[in-house]
Amino acid sequence: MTTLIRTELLRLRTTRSTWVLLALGLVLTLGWMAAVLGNIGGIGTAARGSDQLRADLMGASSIGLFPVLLLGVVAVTGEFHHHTVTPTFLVTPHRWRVLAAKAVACALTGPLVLVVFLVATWTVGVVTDAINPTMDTTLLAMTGRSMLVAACWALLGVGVGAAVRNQTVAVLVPLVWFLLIEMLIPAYGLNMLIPWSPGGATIALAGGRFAGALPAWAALLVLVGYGLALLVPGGRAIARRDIS
Amino acid sequence: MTAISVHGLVKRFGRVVAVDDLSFEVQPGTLTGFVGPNGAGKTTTLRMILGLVRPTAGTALIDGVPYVRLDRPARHVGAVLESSGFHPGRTARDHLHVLAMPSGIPISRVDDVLSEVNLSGAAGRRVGGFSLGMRQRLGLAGALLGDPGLLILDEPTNGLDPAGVHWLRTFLRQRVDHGGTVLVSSHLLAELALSADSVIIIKDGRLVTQGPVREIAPGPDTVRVRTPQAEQLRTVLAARGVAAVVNSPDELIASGVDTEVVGEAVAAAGLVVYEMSGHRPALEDAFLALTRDEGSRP
Repeated sequence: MTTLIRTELLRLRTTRSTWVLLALGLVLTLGWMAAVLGNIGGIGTAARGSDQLRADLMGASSIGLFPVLLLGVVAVTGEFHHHTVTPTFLVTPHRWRVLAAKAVACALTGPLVLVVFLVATWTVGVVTDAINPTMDTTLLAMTGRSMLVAACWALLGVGVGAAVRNQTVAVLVPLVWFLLIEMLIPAYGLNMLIPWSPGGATIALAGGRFAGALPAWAALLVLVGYGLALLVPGGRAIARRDIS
Repeated sequence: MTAISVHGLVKRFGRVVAVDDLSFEVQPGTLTGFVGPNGAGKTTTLRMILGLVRPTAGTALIDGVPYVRLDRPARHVGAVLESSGFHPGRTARDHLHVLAMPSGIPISRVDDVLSEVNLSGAAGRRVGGFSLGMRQRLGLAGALLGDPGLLILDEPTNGLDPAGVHWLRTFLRQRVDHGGTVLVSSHLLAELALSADSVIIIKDGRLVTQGPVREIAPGPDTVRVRTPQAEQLRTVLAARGVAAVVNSPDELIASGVDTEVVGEAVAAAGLVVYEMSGHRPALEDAFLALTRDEGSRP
């Protein structure tokens, strides 16, 4: 199993889309951060050097969760899209092991990618005098929580990829879910669902506060649960499927 | 032990029966051609042997066990399948590296197989820019990684130029001469007849015939003679018990003989001959005869 995980890590490293997604995440994160930086002193913006401003600036990296999720999606759908699934399953006929290795490899890579985004925001923040270059437990806790969220989102991506398989559809589904459907939940007065939704659980795990937010451990379980709820039936279908 | 044994294999896709109660065996140390018209079920059969497609019924065993139960299958079987893909953004070397790792094959082997298929120069290039022929070679390189005793190739000549086809034929023959086993499918029999030991012919998912190439190509040899004394030659040959027909005033076709027999008869009778040629019945003709539609069979 270790060999298979290392193989999947190698596969991620040698695939151009991995690096494209990393670059995309960096651009999105720094773009959002620039918007916050440009508003310093404006209404509702925290003071320079404050913990709150640091949290706001580094929070820009949360937009980078989408590329992390897509990393997981493409790890599965790319195999079908490029027909590489045939040689992959020829070399390793145990299809479940391949999927499990993909889930683990993405859940390891996702947090590393997010750390790159966090370091980028922190560095820009320090260079522009918006963040004091000091380490403290708040910063470490934030980094740790962000990495856990990234691992969950990467797993969620692998789950979506396994359940949908069609690359175009699988890329669109999470975007529509998080950017449209979750936004509509309050509009329909279904606020009691928010803590249990993937978006609500993400905010809770990241340390955000809102009415009814789950404790971090429960939010973690909810997110992993969503990932597995997609991965298991998707994986079962892939295991039974004719590869032609 | 047989290298491949297929027994009672059936595959239905909905109401379409792609493979229908197919049984055959591939002996170790042979180059076996797996031929049939397009849509005969060749690819589906090969994919069932390789554990990629689930049979509706029947079994397909490699060295006595199903493919999925082989330990590190790449070390037993190398397969080159049609529509087997490559990630266009990955280099040839990285593609092979990803395939080698799960089977515990050392990285050094990647450069070995690249040079075996004459792709060393393109090792660092992205597969997206490869020609069809180069992709076929890269597919073959992937199959060779584990130095398997058995090679299974599905239409490997597609996209190869004549020089490439010749190279592949020589290459496969060498593998077999060194103790390997090769099963290669093709809808173009002529490409195989020159090198295969035996053939399996299928049509509509059913076995038509299986056996050594020489036995499957039936019918007598014929000799065509161009001579101004065709009628005299016919009489001379008839006296020697050779059946011949006079096609036109200066052409005769003798059957069931070779050119030596006809040549001696010509010399003994002191006849004039302008041209003489011997013909073996082509495997291609036998194949066409065997797979012809029932309706048009005479």
